[in-house]
Amino acid sequence: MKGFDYKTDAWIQWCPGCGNYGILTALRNAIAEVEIDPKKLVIVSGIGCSSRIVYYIRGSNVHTIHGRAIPVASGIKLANPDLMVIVAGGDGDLLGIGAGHFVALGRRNIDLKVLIHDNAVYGLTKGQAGPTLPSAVKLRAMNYPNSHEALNPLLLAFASGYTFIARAFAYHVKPLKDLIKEVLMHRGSAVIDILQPCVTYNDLMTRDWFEKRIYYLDSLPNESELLQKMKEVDRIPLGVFYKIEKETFDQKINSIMGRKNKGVRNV
Amino acid sequence: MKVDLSLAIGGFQGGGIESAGQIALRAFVLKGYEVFGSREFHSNIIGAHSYYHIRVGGKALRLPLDALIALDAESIFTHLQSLSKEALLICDQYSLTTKASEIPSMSKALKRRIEQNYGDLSLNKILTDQELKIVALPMRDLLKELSHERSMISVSKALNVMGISAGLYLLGLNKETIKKAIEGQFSNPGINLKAMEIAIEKVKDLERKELPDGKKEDKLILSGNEAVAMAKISSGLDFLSFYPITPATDETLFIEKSGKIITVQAEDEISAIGMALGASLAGLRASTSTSGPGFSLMNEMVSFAVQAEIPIVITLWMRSSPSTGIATRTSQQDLLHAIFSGHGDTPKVVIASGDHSEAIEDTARAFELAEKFQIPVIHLLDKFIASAITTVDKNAFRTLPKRDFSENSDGYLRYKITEDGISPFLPIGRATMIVSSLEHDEYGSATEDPVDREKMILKRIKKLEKASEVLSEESYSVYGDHEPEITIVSFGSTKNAIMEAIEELKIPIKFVQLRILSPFPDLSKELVGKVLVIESNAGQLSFLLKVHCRVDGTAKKLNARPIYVDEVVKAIKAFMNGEKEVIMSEGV
Amino acid sequence: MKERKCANCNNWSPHNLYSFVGYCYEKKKLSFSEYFCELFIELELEEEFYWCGTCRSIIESEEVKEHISKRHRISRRAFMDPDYREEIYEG
Ligand SMILES: Cc1ncc(C[n+]2csc(CCOP(=O)(O)OP(=O)(O)O)c2C)c(N)n1
Ligand SMILES: [Mg+2]
Ligand SMILES: [Zn+2]
Repeated sequence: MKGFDYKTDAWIQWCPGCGNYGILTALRNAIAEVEIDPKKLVIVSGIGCSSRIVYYIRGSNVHTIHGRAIPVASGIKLANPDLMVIVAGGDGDLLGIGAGHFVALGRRNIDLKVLIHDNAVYGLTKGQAGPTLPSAVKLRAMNYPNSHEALNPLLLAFASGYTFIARAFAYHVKPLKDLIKEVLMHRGSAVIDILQPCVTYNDLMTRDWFEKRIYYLDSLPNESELLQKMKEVDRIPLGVFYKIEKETFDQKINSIMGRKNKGVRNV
Repeated sequence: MKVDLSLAIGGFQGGGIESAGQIALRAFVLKGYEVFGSREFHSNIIGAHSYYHIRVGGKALRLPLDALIALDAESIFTHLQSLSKEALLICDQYSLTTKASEIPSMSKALKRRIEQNYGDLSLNKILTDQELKIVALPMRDLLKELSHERSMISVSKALNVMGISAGLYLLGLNKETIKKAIEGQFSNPGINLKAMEIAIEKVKDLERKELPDGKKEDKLILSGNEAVAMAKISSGLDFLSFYPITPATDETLFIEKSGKIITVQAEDEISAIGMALGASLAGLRASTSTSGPGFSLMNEMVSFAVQAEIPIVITLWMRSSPSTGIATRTSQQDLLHAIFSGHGDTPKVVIASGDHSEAIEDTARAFELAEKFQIPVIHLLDKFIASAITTVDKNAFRTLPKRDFSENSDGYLRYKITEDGISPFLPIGRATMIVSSLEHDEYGSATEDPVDREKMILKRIKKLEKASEVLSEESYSVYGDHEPEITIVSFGSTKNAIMEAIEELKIPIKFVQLRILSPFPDLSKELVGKVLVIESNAGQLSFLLKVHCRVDGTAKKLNARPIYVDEVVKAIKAFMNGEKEVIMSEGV
Repeated sequence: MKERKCANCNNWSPHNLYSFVGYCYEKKKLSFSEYFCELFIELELEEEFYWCGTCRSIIESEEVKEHISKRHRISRRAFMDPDYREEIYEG
């Protein structure tokens, strides 16, 4: 199949130039190359501009409420482990209002792939500071400079126990597609922080701004350099930072309960 | 001559509809007329249809439209059936070759309806059968003319000004008034004024009747969000915490911008109300603002505020639910949600305002009640009021004295049992005390003792009974005839449409407009004749009224659009003809 | 070869809402779709995303052929008013 085959006839409602287009194409092409049956593809999103992605990919998708995609996706995956369950949402959705669930997912290692559309703003509500916006920055729709410090999604993911942690750039469609393919193969809680310029409200972290700063990691960082790489801010490393194999939540539950089946069968 | 006009300006979201609408409002105010402007829009989607509906000479919306200024083809298709027979239609000549099927932003449902009504024809063909006064301007040629004279920055703000200038001029406003309105709108209006010149030049020979001057008054022109924000500031608000959500955010950002009030953007609504409760405990006048989804998250904290007796004003801007619903459209679906919010026996006050002036009044009243009775006060408003713009008296705003903390701190009992249930409030830090979510004794220490428990629950209920006594007369307003055939009961933003409908019907009707919905007032003596409830939800006030009194019929608005005078007139007539349930479906 | 006018020029992008007007990134000013000038160069189709003025939507390079075959107006990107954000409402 081709990415095209997963297209829907919905009129796409993102601003021209939005980084979400890159993510959409990369995701569509990745699932096409992995040849996921659209019936078994479940994209679960929260609320935000980015969360509208569920309308633009043919799958068996769920648009939940603000900040709560992870709990709903967790239930789906535990009930039917045969499904490919992807969580997509904004930085505000996953790391602001939904941060508690983001942490809990890492601790559980449920086999979900979390794509953070990280534009550092609340796009849908017109450009307030998002959780990943650096402090003291004043974007065009803000009354005052940001009084919060930026949250680092990679460090939070690492501290929470995610077993696959990566960062990507929305406009680099092909590398992003390859990365998504890799994450689709991983078993366990996985996260890609996708830097996604918002052309409408984030007048600092623009495409140019990122392109001056980003570079690709040559290889998986070893333990001694891992945290330092995750913390780097002047230059922004992209790629896979961390990847391990660990028992997943449903495996644990099954072994605790002495069950052979994974999840509820015959759904 | 009474001037009464309904007009709409429609176009692309992002295409200058907001500024065009505001120019029109300002122009009519300059001319001395009553205005009311309501904006209808899609959720943050550039290029989707949005429009401004303006009523001149009244405070409620009316249909059909006397004029439509359509900046694109979709606007004509969308509003065609809302136009009066001989309405003025100002449009772009080049948009008339468009068929509905060719408009990517138009919803499938609307395309289907248009196709059913007219077939898949171009506007040119559809419009030939109509008696409309069509003024088709060659927009791109006018724009070229402008671009030869000036270097342009914003295409939208040239085209919208051209459209609105031609429209206002043909509706009978003079050039001077339009010019002043444009100057008031833009900080650097040179190019916009030139656009106005070009547009008016193009239509100057067409038939028009000059409007007479109205009554000039010095009033503020405000949105509902701004009105409430200013009322909070004037009431002496010290602390505001919020999580962004439509249609509450504009209120909070206005307050933040004022620079006078501690304003914090929280990580979610639980935190937003939690911070406000903390600030209130520490003695500040505190508030939070939200909409349905956010208020759902606040529920547990509402119960905490009741139990721990913490004053707080929660401004609840209702939008179209359930769940995320239609985030940018209106409804009154959170009435029961507000009244029954919080787990357990949670007495609280719920106030609803019918328009901008009442919203200002009720904001101050909400703080007074919250602080006097140390309870949560939920101020119910909706998206319709939030984004509607109208004139407001300059001295509508009250100031409130600072909170009173004169109680002696020696031997202080946070939950002292008193006759009216109200224990003197001292902020955290002024005395030793415990503020507790657990059931507690007078000091605040946790207790499971049955006698203590009963006392405390009765104390909290007594406060609400006291509030009920204090409020009794002020809990509702009565309008119209006192010996009527029917009594209409309603709350919130339906008010002005109902008032005008009653005026128009000229039959004896009484209108009881509820301002306080918790504690629910005793209406037994007020309900005369048959009782009709009018509301923008599936029957929530009807439910309450049935429990407390009686109801004979309900007129409901369910389509997430504002309420129009004309559909209320029809609903009342239908009710008088024996219909028990009327659904009002106007609006696009 | 395509007609030498702004609408077919690689330097030009149509306005996202009003396709008859647009912006020339060479001359750095507005011009109208049927204008032409000496700087004309034919549209190069070698990017990942394009703007389809007919669909008023961003499209992927893979989709370009199909839109062109339906005679849609394709350009490299859309031009937006510099102050468009003042005019969009929140969600
Ligand atoms: C409980 C609740 N609170 C607030 C909102 C309003 N809201 C919708 S989207 C959003 C944030 C959007 O930001 P983000 O998640 O970063 O997504 P983006 O639009 O940037 O892609 C907010 C606050 C809501 N829908 N529900
Ligand atoms: Mg975001
Ligand atoms: Zn197309």
